Amino acid sequence: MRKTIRCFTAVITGILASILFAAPMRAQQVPFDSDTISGLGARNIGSATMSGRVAAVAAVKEDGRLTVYVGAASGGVWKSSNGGTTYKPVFDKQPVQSIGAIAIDPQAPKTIWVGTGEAWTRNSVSIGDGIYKSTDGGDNWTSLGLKNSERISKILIDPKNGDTVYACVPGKLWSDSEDRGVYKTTDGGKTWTKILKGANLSTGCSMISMSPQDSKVIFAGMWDFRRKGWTFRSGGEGPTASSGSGLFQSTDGGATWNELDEKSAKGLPAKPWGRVAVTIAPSKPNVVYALIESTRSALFYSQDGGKTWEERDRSNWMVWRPFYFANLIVDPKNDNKIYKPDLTLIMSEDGGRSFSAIGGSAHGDFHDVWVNPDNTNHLIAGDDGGIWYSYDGGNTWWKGNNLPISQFYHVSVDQFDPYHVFGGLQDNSAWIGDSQYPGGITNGRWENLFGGDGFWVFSDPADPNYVYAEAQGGNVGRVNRVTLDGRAVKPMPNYGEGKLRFNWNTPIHMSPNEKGTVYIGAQFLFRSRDHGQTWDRISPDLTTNDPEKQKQEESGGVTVDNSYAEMHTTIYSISESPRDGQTIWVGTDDGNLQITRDAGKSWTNVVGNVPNLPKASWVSWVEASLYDAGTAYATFDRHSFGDMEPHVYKTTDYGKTWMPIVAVDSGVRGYAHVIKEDTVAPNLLFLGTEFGLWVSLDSGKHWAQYKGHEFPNVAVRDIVVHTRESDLVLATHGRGIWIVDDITPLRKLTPDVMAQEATFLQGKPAQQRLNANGGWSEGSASFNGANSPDAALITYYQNKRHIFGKMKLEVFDSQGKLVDTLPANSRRGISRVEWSMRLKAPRVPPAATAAFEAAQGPRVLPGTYTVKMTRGTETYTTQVVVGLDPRAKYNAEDRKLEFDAAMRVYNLLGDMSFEVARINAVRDAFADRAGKLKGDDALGKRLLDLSQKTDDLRRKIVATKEGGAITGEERIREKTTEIYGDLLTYDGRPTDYQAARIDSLKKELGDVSTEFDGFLAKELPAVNKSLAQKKLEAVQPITRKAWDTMSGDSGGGPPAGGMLFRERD
Amino acid sequence: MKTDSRRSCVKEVLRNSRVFILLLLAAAGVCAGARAQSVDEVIAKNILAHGGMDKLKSVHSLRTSAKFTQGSFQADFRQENKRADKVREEFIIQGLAQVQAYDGKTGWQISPFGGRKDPELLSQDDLKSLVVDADMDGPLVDYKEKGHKAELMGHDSMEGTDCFKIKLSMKNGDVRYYYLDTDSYLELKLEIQTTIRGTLQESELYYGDYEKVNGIYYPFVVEQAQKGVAARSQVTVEKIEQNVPMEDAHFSMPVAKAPAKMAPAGK
Repeated sequence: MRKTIRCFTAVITGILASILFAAPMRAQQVPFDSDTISGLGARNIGSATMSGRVAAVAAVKEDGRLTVYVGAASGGVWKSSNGGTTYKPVFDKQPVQSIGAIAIDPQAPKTIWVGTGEAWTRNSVSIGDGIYKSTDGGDNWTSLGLKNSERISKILIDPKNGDTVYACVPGKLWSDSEDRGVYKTTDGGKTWTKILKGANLSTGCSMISMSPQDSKVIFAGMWDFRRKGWTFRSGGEGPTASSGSGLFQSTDGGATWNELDEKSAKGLPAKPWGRVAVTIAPSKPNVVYALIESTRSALFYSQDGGKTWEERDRSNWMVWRPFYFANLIVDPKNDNKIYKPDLTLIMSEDGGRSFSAIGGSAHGDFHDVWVNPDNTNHLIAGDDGGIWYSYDGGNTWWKGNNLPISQFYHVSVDQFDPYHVFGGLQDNSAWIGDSQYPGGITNGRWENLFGGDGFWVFSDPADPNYVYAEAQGGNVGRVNRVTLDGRAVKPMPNYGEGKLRFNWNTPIHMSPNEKGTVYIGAQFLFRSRDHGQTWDRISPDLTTNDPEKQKQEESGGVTVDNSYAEMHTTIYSISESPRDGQTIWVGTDDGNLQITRDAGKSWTNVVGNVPNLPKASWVSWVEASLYDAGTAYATFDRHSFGDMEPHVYKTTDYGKTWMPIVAVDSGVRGYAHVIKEDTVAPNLLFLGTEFGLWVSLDSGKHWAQYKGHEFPNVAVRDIVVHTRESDLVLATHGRGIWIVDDITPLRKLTPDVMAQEATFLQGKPAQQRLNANGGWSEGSASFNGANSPDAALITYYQNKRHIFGKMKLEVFDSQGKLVDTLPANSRRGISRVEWSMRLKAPRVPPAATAAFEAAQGPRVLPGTYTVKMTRGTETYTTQVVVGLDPRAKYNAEDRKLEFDAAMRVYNLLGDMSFEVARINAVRDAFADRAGKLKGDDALGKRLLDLSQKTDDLRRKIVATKEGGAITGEERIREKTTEIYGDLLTYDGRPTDYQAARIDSLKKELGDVSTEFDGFLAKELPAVNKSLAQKKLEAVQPITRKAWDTMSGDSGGGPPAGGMLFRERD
Repeated sequence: MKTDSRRSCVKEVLRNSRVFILLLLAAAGVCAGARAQSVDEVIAKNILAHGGMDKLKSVHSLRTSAKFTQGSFQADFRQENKRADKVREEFIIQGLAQVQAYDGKTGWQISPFGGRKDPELLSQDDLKSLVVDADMDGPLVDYKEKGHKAELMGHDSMEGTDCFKIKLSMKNGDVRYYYLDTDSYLELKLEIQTTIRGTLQESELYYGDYEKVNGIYYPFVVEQAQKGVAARSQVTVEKIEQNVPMEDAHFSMPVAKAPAKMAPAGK
């Protein structure tokens, strides 16, 4: 027996081996790339209510209207051509989305320069890849070098020569680099020269300013700075340590520079310095302001072009967080009026002697301000909460509600229908939003749950009335969803114990095996089974506990800045195996990858088994497999060491061995944040990096970037597959939440499928969702996230775009009757077509007005429908299962009654259309014959009289009063289309009075029909006899059969050009 | 509420139909060329791909009958063109035809759905796209003579298919980006930027199902979307007729009927 098993195993192994070896060969023949998978569209549900960090703002008047450009910290460039009422993203096709600077050519308002890489260097800051230029207002961009700059803080354009441009490059945040300083081009960006170099490999340019009178006069602030995972410095390693920071001036366009310091320029503070900001007053170029971070941080003022300086304000506003707040904007007309973006926006009207906080009602953490030179009371400001407008000099603010540049760290979902989306954002709290809502997912469909910076948020599976929400540093709370009251449930240290080290982005994890069990990680792993009432410490310190990485009280360089942002040697990722609740994985920010297989009694650090991985690599994600207890995935994020590449591994033996699953030549870009398995197809993986979402169908052998519906190259920080809906929910750090509806087709996309010319990919069963109205007009300046289509999604794959010849989809019911014909999408790869699950609209007799309530057909009955795709000479078929909305209070029998009632009205409208056509034909025939007789012919007069009497009958069926006023005229047609519309708005059992009403209307139509028959019987024989005597053609009413043939099966009336109803203009 | 939302849906549909027409026309034609892929050469190959300049110019009038679909909404659509610069478009629901037409001088419309069938003048801005529609060969054909400027922007992938991207800066200020399949040289996509009352409006058109009618390739399916919006409407062409006799009066603004003695409605 054992021998048999071994033999069988060998056979299976052989087959598997052949499949494994064969697969890459097949895969090579079939292109698997971005276009293969991006036909599955994604929808952005925002939100813009919290919006996100804005790093730079620029604006210019064009043709009397204001064009605004907004540089998002990690969400690209947005353009408004109407002063901010509406925006569109214009930078999405570029490889990075972090923006540091925007400049508009003063001579050419369509020429825009963008420096990528934000210069507000907080812990979560993204990276750029150089400088870009557009000469057509943002439609097209050209990358113009400085590729290794990583971040650019300012761009200056010579106002008299647009080809001369200066770029202020702070440079790399996480590593030494030569690529920093002040750069200049004189040929429009083709070539660059470094005209000011830093004193060392960590000193770059923090700010530059040019004299409006003499473009050769330039001031430059130089900044020595560096971040590590556990500390940062602005300036040297401490308040008095040496630093490369300084202030420089050139009077020859950067050819030579003079350093300004306490020796060369009286009044400047003693070195060492930290960050330096400098700006020239546009209206009086001898006035120069400089913010200098030092042990005596202050604003400095010069009125002699920088020769001498005077210390002005040195309040806390000048001390607080220079790495985040170091921008100065002088009013274009008033040299004594200066703005400094800060914790709030502050403004001085006395040359910087005193400042007032004016950003009161705005979010706060300002970074840039644009002051309208034509009306200096008009300000546009960017802060951590988006974009803000003031029309009274900054005293009050309008919030921009149309920039969905929200920076989510994480996302989760619940099991409501429609499900909710939960997530936390940079400086923007923790939120719950709708995945669907009638009328769209407007800003108002999102609700704030907590406070602070937001990170993990989970619905408590044990009690969906509560959520766990989190602010920075492990400040977790349990919040009531309805009343929004909550309590802190953060674990505390024991007696005599030092602090618990909670990461800025502390992991919370919900057990996949036990409802209500929740984990949180400091340096220890904590578990609660009673909603945080008690916490069990189920591990020792799982980090390296390296004291060198625990000196946050010294962090900041010149100015101490000890927030949770640099807390290190912490747990960063937690994953309990869905297959075995005793197996728990933990990853730490200092490079440990720990596993327990006995629910925390013992732990093993397996990171040493990961091949070719440098020590201390930040474990950004560890994910236990859904399918096997020994399998897990881990991503390592080494960007804090200057390594921006993805490092992703998989183990199948509890961490004893690991294999890389993102090859160097895989095409995947950006440091890795998250990896997730699909919940159905084990080989389907989703990888989120700093530059987007990548998908693998073969467990990581090949990857393709997902770009459905223009999904940008934005950081994907978290990914959830909704188990019930098969939706892929993406948390982006810069562009909000995106949903890819129903990824079932991706699960079917095998190499064999991709080798076919075309084939269907079956999706999940379709639902006829409740008809519901919601929302209200919010104007143009408000974001509204898209719902999933109210349709059955028919998905197919083509290995090549279909260009020539017919391609269409036909839907047949179970009896083989054609229900609908749909135009096909012809793109290569996956395509998706929406079927409304409705019959064609009924025929409706023409009248004075259109009856739009009858412009669509009834919903088909639930059941199985066959879809046939015709593609040239080939045909393909699949089935679509249509079901009721599970939320419906009516059942299939009710639905059938509704459908039958709607069809009775549908057919009644058809009968009515025929009746009107029959009347019209006779009326027109009478008139036609009359026209062929002489004016005084008695028969002619009689015919005209009969024509009028015939038309009187028509007027009993349809409303005929014209003129455009609201006549309120109702005839049988109007009454019928009204009940038709009512029936179509509710899929359940019709009311008795609706049923009775249909009978009444049918009878009313019958009465007119009978009257017309009587009229014809009475009049036609004699008239036709008289016509015969005049040798004119007899008047014959058309038959239903003839009319059906003439009018075809078109829903909305006869086909174009049909002579019966053809309008006479 | 109910009625309003339906009306706004119809408005949207009507707006979309305008753009669609532009597309059909744009797809209809263009000029001849040179050698290593200058913009003129690519445009010339595009014209050749459609059937050649002679063929295009041999068409003096054109009638396109189509079905418009947006979600569950369907309507009939018809466009008629007559050289040199006449166009008439009809959007038909329940036997009522929304008409927009231009006779080379005057643009007008009839909007019958609300119960009035008097012709009305179109404003200059609302007329803008109709005038482009009246160019039967499409703006690429003889673009220089028409005062447009064309620029080859290089290659670009359009939904996974390699395309030439041509920027056409039109005399009326509109900008169009044409995506021509590098194999067939036919249009696969058109992006339109038009300025209406000083406000930029952007739309995208996707072409497919090219079929030959008397030696000229026409797209028989055109999908249309507002830029940035996922939902697309579709126009499926049912019939294309060339050189159908059309009276000039068919394109000219009719004299409004006397309000008192109006003909019975809904004939």
